[in-house]
Amino acid sequence: MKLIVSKQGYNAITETDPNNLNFSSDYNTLKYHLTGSKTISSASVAHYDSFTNFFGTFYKFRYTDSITHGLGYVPFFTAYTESFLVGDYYNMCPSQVTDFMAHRAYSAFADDDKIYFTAEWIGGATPGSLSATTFYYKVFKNNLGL
Amino acid sequence: MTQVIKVSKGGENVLTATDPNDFIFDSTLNTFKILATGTLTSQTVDADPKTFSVTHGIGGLVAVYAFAKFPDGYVALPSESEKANHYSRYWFVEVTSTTIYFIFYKGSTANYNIDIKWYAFEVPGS
Repeated sequence: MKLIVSKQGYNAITETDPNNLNFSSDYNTLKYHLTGSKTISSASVAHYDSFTNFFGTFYKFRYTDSITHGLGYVPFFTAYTESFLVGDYYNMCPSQVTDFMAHRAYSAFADDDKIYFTAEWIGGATPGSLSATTFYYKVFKNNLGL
Repeated sequence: MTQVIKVSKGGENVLTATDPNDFIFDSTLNTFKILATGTLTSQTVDADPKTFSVTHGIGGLVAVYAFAKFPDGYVALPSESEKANHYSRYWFVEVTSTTIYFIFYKGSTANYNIDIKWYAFEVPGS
């Protein structure tokens, strides 16, 4: 027995193209578990490194923080950050921004208990407001099986 | 009269709510259907780059989401590097109408094994 909802104008009984269906029990969907945001603070774990080349000395900071999903397995997840250069625009992780002052990179990772958010900064001086980065996340119950 | 199936979230009136965010399911709205999925386990990255591929069998361009578990035990998104600061180890995903490609880099690091999970979603209008 199936549950099929076709799009308007299509016959749910005979339609075979999933693009013409709003729902079909033949196809799995993503099921929400958690949605929210996490602001990486200056109290987060930071890794410090530096290197010197022809152009001078560059400093590397990597701020990491996490949220607990608590599912006991690695779930399907996605994360976003607000664009550093253009407010109200959001980039999916991973994303990178480079200007004449610095390179910034934002990433998200997962294990069977947490989602981890990292904000990395490479530039000629200390990162200033990088630690105030907010990540927006969505975690689904779908088990990656990894 | 058009018949619909709706399931509202707890606390929301299924008969009067209009915001799709207040519903668990609404048969008038398309769902993001997973058309195919697969797992590649213990794939060895022994070249730079090293490409793995699967035939998705959907018969057209699809939207792909994928995840890769690196040796440090963390699962990374496409275009990310291994979380444990191995910037030489990173990966990309490319998609055609028949095939999904997973492209991994190792740089000067040792060969490593990777586990990949991929999902192919429908692309309405494609």
